[in-house]
Amino acid sequence: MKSEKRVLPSRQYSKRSRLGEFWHRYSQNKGAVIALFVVLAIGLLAALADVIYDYDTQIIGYDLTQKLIKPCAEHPFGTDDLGRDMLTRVLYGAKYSFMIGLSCAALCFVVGMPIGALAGYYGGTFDLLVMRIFDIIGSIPSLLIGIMVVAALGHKTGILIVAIAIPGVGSIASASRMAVMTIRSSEYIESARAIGMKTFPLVMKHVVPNALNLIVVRVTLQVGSAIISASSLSYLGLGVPLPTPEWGALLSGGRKLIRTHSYLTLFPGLAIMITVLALNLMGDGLRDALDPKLKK
Amino acid sequence: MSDVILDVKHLKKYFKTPRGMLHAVDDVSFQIERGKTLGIVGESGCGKSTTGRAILRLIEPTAGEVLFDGEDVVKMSKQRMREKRKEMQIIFQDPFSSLDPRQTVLQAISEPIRLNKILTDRYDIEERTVELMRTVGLAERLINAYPHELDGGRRQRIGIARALAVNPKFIVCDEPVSALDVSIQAQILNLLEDLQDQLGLTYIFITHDLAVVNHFADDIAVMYLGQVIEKAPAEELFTNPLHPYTQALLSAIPVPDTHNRPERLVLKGEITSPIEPKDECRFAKRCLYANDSCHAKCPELAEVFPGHFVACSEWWKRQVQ
Repeated sequence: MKSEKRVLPSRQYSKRSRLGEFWHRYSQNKGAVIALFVVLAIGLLAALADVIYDYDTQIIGYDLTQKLIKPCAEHPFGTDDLGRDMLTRVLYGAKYSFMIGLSCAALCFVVGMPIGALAGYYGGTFDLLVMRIFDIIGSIPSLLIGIMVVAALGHKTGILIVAIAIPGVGSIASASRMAVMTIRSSEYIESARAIGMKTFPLVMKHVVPNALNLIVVRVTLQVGSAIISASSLSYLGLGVPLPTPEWGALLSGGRKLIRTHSYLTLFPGLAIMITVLALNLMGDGLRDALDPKLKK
Repeated sequence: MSDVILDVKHLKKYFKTPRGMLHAVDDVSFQIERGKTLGIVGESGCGKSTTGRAILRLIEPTAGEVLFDGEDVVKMSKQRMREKRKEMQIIFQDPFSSLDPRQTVLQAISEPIRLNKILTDRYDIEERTVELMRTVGLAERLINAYPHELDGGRRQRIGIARALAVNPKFIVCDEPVSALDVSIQAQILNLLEDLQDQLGLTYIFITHDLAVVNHFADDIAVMYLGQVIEKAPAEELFTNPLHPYTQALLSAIPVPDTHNRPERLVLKGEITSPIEPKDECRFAKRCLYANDSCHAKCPELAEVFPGHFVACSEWWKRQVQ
């Protein structure tokens, strides 16, 4: 054994951590930074909704003496036809939208990613078959699929999530497939085989981490589109039913009073728009920050 | 007696396509002596890269033997092959795609050392990495850099260090400089040459750049549509090319002299499809001298002068004076 103290050569030089590098690049895009904070704020609100508000009294408890008050200091978003404060209901609604959006995206990822990755890695007949099936599903308007599934299987939140996730699975699968195909033909995969790496470690070490970069972006965008789908179905009366303050359901509830009390539809609409916009901007920012090839 | 390190016999690689079998590498045979460089030249799609990869079994050959130190690589078990990969390495063409963008220089170079358990102690591994970086001319301060922070020449040096990390005897250089700037090409070529001298490496040098291969190779094999059509010592090939394709190829090298331009042999005609080719000379459709006998049978590679092989039945009619 050597007696002198040995220093790791890599310790002698600074290294920007992966997270630091990521943040450095993400923060270049100011829109994406704002979007991130918006998403975090809404996410926090969604997580704490039940701590802040009491569901039975503040959210669904009605008081007809307070009904249809236009936006004012006490009720910034006004009150609905049952006298419930719209601000409270819209804020509480974040919980449903986020839950549905996230679970849909998670479902798409869990189902779509492995299928797409396998199709991309092995190619051939399996690839052809799987992608044609997703093409067929993709050719049906997603709202129509949602309506069909909910109409056939019933009016439950779990079923709603599945109904919305179906078209998304194909989208995540094709993104994963493309990512894996691109990476599989890269020379660094051959290079890893040339030094004697077995298939499984190779996939785990080189294919998956590089593919995740690309897939994470699509999953983020999937959250946004799931929120829109859920709201659309709720608006049509097929999603989360009233009195639950889901944003689409709020829109639906305000619809009949839109001529006289347009604020009832305006604010839930704005909530959907801001959330989805923020998610999309965040997705764009992530895409730019996660791709090591796009410098500066 | 010559010391042959690599003896490739009747190597074939066919790919299945909807229109039939594509003969990417069709009955290629050659030998390389230890410490020498064989240059493989040819136009894109002629199977030169496929040959290099088939030798290393990065692509499984369809048929043939690859005797490396007398042992057939093609017949090795997966386990034995992984062992053997330590002796046979490859340097890739595109230094922008041959490195995992998520690995630092340290991780990329040390990966083969860790994977093959050449060293296990972390300090030893990092010190060896630094040593390799010095060998290939990379500054030690770049040890934590990511590939995207470096230029093409430096990235290629990482690729070379990665190949050297397992102490190979033999390296396939698959167009190692064609993706680099001309100014950097010379540096990398000199580096490869120095490494050959220091470490006694044997190279297969795949390229489409004849100037590079003339400078670098001891022997040159010219490939056309999956076959070796001429093979000779470098100087012999440049002074006395026998195959009409080689002659045309050499005439295409630009000469920096405006008054004394050599006549350029321009090839006309269609390139024969490599899918299910007929038993005829594959160059016949573009050859200026083709006659009926060229369409009758595919000519075999024959030694017409000591060390000079050519696959052309009519070569003696057109010797350069």
